[in-house]
Amino acid sequence: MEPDHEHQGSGDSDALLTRAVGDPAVFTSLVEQFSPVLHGYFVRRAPGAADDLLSEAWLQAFVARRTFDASRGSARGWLFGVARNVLAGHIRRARRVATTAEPAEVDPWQAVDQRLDAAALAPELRRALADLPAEERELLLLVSWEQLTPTEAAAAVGIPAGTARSRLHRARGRLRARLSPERHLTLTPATPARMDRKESA
Amino acid sequence: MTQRDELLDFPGSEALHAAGRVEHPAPRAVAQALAAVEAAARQETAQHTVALPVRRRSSAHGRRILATVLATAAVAAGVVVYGTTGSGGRSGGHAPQQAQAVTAAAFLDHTADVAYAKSASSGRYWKVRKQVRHTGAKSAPRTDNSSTADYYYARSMNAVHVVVGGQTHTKAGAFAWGLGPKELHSWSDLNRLPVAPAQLVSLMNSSKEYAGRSAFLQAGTLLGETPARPDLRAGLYRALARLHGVELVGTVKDSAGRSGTELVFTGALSTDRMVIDPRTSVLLEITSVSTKGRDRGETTRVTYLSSGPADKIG
Repeated sequence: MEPDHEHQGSGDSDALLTRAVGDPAVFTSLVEQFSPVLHGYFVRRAPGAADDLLSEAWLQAFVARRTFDASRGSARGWLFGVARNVLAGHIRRARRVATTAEPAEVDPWQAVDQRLDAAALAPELRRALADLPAEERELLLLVSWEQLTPTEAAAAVGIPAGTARSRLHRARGRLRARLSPERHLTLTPATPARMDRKESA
Repeated sequence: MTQRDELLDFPGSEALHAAGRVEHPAPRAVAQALAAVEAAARQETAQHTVALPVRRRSSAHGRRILATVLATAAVAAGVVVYGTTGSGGRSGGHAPQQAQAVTAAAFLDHTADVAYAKSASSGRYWKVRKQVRHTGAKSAPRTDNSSTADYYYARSMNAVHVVVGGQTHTKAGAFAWGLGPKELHSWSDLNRLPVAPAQLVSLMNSSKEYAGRSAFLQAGTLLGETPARPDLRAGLYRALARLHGVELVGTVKDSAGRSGTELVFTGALSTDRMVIDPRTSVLLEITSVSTKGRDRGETTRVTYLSSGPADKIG
């Protein structure tokens, strides 16, 4: 297995973010470059608030840009970390308004599941994702949807890269165990489509 | 095969990936973000590249100390130094020419970081112990009243309970905090406020002298009086950092003898000051002196002795 490849131009964005500490005007280049991916992150998890969250994330990133250290990870991973914090704040606020109680966790699964439902994802896959531990599912979606490398996903979540890789391995193992064709044939009723494939095989 | 490919090697992986496809953001969304960042960048550039004189309070011996802010180098180097002043002769007035290496904006942004890291608290009431001192206008026979009381704000804000000298007085009615044109009639209203500094600034500036109170004072009141959650408190501090005319005075002691960093804002109708504890982000004291009209000289000072959640009164 080959290690992660850096995203094209990631060195440039690291340098831009580093330069933006002393020259705030440089920061706007990052806004143009990364807004589509950060907006996508918010749309998938908080579709009604994505535009506002994007602005909030960029302002927080601007204020906190001095904390970026290129020797500890890429600008991409760091920016998704900021976006993740902004999303968590949004979820906390929404839940406080609804319940006036302190929420214990800030998993955007409800919105994600609605997206999967709308995309007509196979129910078994949806259930398998729902049953994953939230911290494994979050990493999996960062890698699948946001195209982050495991190292960038680790930086975004604020955990060591090795821990992220272990969790991703476990998530893959759980999904394989739940979704492998053999298991469908023996443990769950087969759908007509699967029956067709089985017969033709 | 890369690590990423291998980790996504499970049945349905491609379908999952496809379910995550989204449209590009509307140009308006990116433009909005860009405008917010550009405004913040312009403000920061203006504050960090101009040498600003900072007026400090007179020392106990009547000396006025003038320090020059040359923040560019210090901020670029990540230096955070808060000036000291000898207010009351109780703290370090021994460094009259000490370079002040931080602007009000940098101090407030740092305070916002501290506020953001705090955990939120919850209770039936929000209890604020405060000392209020009111000095009348110069044009009238001067009055000088001071009182200390515990205020209990219920979640619904349909009553405020005030405990003075062991006795509880309940004031019924619809109470509200204010920010710009928004009236916050409950904790839930407070929680619905935006936390993005640009939005808060916009709110505050939409009514600069709301009910005769400057934007600076409005934000200060929310910080001192309310159970604003950490992200809102951080947002308010960042909004204050973006207000024009806020200056850093330096380290002072409030009227309760606590050390904090003082900021001053000269508004259209009043000159307002805040003392903030930079270690905790807690607003210690806020003072407003009317500078116009027949109220000129009227001074209200609120010293926040403590605040936090409470489940019962008394």
